[in-house]
Amino acid sequence: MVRFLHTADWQIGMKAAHTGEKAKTVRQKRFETANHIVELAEEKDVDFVILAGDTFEDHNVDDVAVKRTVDTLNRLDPIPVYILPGNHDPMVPGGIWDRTSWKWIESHVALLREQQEYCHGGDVVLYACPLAQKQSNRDPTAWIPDRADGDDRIRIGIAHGSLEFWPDLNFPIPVDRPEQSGLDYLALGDWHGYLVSGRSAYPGTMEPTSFSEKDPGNVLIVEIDEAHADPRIDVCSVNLLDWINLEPEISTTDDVEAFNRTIQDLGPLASVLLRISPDLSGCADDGVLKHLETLRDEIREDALFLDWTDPVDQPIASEGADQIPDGILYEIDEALATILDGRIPKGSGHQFADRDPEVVRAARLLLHRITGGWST
Amino acid sequence: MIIEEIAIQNWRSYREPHTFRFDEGFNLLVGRNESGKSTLFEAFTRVLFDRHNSRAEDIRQIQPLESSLGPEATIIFLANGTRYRVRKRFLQMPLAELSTWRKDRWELDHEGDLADNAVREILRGERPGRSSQPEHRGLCQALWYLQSDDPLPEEVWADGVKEGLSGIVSLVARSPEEDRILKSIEDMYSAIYTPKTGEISSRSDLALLRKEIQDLDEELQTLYKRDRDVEELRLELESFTVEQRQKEAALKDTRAEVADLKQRLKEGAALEDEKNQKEKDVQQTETARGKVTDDLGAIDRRRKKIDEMVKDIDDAQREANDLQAEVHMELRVAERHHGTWKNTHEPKLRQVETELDTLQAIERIRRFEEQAVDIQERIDHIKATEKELRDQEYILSTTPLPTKRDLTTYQKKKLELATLQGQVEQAAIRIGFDLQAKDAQITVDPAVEYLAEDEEYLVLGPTTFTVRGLGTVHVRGGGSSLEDLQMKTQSLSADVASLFERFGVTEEQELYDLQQRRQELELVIRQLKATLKDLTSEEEPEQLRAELTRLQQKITTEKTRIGATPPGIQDLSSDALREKSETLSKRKKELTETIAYEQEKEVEARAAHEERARSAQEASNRLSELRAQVGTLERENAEVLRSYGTYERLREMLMKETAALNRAKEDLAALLNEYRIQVEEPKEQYEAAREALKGIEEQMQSVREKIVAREARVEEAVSKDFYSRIGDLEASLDLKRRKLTQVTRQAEAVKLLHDMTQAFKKHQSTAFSGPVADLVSRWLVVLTSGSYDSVQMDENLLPVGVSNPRYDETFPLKCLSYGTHEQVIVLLRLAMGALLSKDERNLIVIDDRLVNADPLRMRRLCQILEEVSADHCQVIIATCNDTPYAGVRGKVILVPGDGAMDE
Repeated sequence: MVRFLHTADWQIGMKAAHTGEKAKTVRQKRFETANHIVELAEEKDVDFVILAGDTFEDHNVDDVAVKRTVDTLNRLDPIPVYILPGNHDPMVPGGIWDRTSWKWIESHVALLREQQEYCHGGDVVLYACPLAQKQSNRDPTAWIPDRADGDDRIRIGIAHGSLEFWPDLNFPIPVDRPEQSGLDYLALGDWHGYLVSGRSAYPGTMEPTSFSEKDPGNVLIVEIDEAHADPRIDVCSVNLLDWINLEPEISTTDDVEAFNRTIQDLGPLASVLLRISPDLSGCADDGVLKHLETLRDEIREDALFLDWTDPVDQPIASEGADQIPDGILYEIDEALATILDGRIPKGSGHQFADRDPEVVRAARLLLHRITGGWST
Repeated sequence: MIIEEIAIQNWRSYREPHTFRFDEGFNLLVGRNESGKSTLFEAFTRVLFDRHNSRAEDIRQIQPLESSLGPEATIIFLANGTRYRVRKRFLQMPLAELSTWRKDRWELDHEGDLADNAVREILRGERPGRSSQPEHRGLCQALWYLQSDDPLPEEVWADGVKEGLSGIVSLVARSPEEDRILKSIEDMYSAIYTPKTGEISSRSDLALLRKEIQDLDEELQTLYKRDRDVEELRLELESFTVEQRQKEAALKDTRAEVADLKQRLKEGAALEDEKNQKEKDVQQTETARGKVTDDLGAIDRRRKKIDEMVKDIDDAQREANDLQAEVHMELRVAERHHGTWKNTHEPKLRQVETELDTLQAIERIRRFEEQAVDIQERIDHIKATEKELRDQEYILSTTPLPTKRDLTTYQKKKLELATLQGQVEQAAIRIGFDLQAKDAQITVDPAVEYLAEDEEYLVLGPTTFTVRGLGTVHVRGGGSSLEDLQMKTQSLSADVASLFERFGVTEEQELYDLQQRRQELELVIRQLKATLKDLTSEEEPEQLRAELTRLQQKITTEKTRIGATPPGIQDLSSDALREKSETLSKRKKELTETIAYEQEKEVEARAAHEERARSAQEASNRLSELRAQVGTLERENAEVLRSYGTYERLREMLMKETAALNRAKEDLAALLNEYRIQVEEPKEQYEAAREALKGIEEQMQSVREKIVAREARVEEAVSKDFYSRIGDLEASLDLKRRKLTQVTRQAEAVKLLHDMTQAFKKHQSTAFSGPVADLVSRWLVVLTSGSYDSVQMDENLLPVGVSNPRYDETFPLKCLSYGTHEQVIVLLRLAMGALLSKDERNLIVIDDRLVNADPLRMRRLCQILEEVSADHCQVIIATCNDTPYAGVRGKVILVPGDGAMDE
């Protein structure tokens, strides 16, 4: 029986540029999670650790990031670690693996440089499928030899690529590769969410890297009793940050309340990155909009990061709409409303009919706000 | 706004407090010039629009002369339906108070700056920088036509006027709320845009944000460039790695090839030994055959040489014999020449020389003898000259002959004597006798000189004349001086006599003759001396005599030498001698030349002889040498042949050795083919492979160095925080760009609002200009009896022209007469006032502006003023002549008289 920890897509050093001023925090958290994985491997008493590609985001990541990664991996000693170059950190001359800071890695860590068998003891054999380029439509596992008659070792493939049930594939891998090549387990990387297909498994990235990932933040503890036996997979959540994308439909105050509860249910927001794009198409009530704005401000206060996108056709909510004095301001407001309604206003307003509706909307909102007492 | 009352003190001419109250309709301020009418209007503007604590020059001027009290005024005015009271004091203890009339009493609302600002707010004025100007007065700029103001603003009305007008036109009361909103929009706009150009201000947030984005983007592009450079380096590295792999493979192959060749060479070692042995055999055989060949060749060469030398010896022998014969011949020629000149010509020459010598001796003797005679003659001449000289000198020394000095002395004394005798004659007494008796004899004792010419006696001393028959006359005359003269004369006469005596003469001429004789004698002596000197100048007589002696000796010697002279010769004449001598000389010259010729020939023959003798010797030597060489060669051949026996044996030996060599070479050639295949070719391949190996190793080293260098560059480029810096910049840029989108949209929104408010305001102004123009036009028809029927106004509410219906033409405003122009301006203000006062009366001020109107127009203007003041506005007109306004109903206020003194 063998027990090992399968992880992948650490993406150390990722820029996280879309998280703005929190990018640095997001980068830091990945190291904490990596340390957490080390502790988990020790706790689970695994025989070895597989890191199935994309340990680093890029060849050019900061030296300090490489050094911290080396420190973390060195802490796993004496647990053997098998690291596969992925499409973000392929095995190329002058690449990340040639960096001086990587040379401090200790001997229990094996970088799987070549397509070849690596024997782990007498019972387990690993078939490494390292990548040497960023993109390709070739199957990196194609080289794995069939199981020979009488070979009763546990055969584990380690590869980085896309199982062939997705379109437009980079490094396509046949879904039945384990069956074709007599593998007991195919440890995969590249897909950032947890996914199991037969004897093939993606643990997903250990920390999410975007709002669009499905089920990220896990590592797998895999047990295989013997050759041909089904692997037992234990999914362990390790992520410290949650990246959540919400698109609530808001029409009434009740909707705002419901949305508020959804946010509350997320728990403390200090470790949450939120992207919220409210759907306000059914909302015509200034009060609701004001309520939602208040909630938005609260979330912005609490969350680690908030990316709030107002809809382009957001209704105009303002305190001053009905306080606009008679005279030219009233006429201007009417003209703006007419333009927004898609019609050409009469009188002096007609020359502004071709203005960008977004600008017109913003102008009207501004006029209402000034009327309502808002000042610069 | 209308003004109800003004109280004023310490203000220019108003030292004491004065209060003027105004009617809400027409008010006519009447007063003389300098009475204080304009001062009241000045107080209106200062109190309502100036800051109370302003110390501007204009304000300092309102203080009365010689007063330090602060100018002060209080105005009560109605605005927006409210009654306000504003009090201001300037310069000394300045103050400002704004009170409002509420429930029958004044309530103080603001003081100081707050009061200033509140009043301005009510009147929609603007905050002035120093003291207020017309454009700061809100609507009052349009409605008050003061002395110091321009008729119209140069460009446009101040905003206050335009806003006031547009407010009226919209027929909606302008609210402070609208003002606030419009002001907010303007503030926002000017925070982003430059009002003049409408472009985004460089100080605005938007511009700053754009700049930040640009900077970030530039830095990011630099980093991207670095990123691309690193990728290029990696591509290079990859190509080098591929090259390295290829080289490694090539290296491996080459090494295997080298090892294989090495093995083959090892296997071919025995074959190489055999080949070496055979080569050695061939070499030895070649050496042996070579020796025989060499010996034979040497013998043949020597034999050939001997043959050639024998021939040479014969030639040399012949040459030596010929040369020897020539030697003998040349010697004979030389001896023949010698004999000729020695035996034949030389004796002849001796004889001729002897004869010639004798002849020359005779000639010399004769010449010596001639010289001796000549010398003897010269000696004799000298002797004769010496004797003559001595004789002459004797005559000179023995004969008394006066010298030249003697003669000079004589002449001197003679002259002196004559002078003395003249003096005596003058000093002497002259006595004449004029006697009757002519023949009376007179005797004189002593005798005296008788001057016959004068018939007088010259008496020099006591003299006694005795005249016969008459008696005696004693004369004592002369005196001492005459005596002295007499004595001197006598002394000189004695000297002269002595001289004559010395030379034995009696007359002066004789003396001169003697002197002449002496001179001649001395001349002869000098000539003789000169002749003697000439004769002895070259040789002294002794020398001449010695020469003579020497010549005589030479003659003797020559005579002795010729001894017995052949007969006949002695007697020969000089010419014959000379002829004979010349003949002999010629003969001698001929003989000498002949001898010289023969001697030259002898020398030539002897030189030829020596030359032939030397050549003969050389030929003989060469012959000996050739014979010796032949001997040597023959000995050498004999030496070589000694080991072979005979020459034929030697030739056989050579044939035998040649056959052995051919056999050995055939053996070697048979082996070499195999050797080339098994040893030589592998050896060449081995060397080539080793060379290739070296090349590949060098290339490998070069590739490795390139890889190391590129790796170092990659490492250097990506170390530190290069990648996260890109991330941070991208994050920052993303944030800024989002913000830019918002800010840009906001700015565009502000601009849209601004543009719309401007457009709507303009529309309103344009709408308003119509009613104003209509009203002015109506009044203009009335005023000008239809000469002008309408006024044109631009969008800024400024009149630009009036139209004349008769000519159907529009004249620019400035073309009107001054009076008409001013009347139009007044009508414009009245019209604006009328239209602005629909809800509330406004004050129109006209400070003495209609003085140029003719009586008819003035009457019509009064009708218009009455209409305006009755229906729309408070009008205050200042004038010094109230007559033209007599028809207007309203209040007449005398200035300063009606300004009741306040208590």
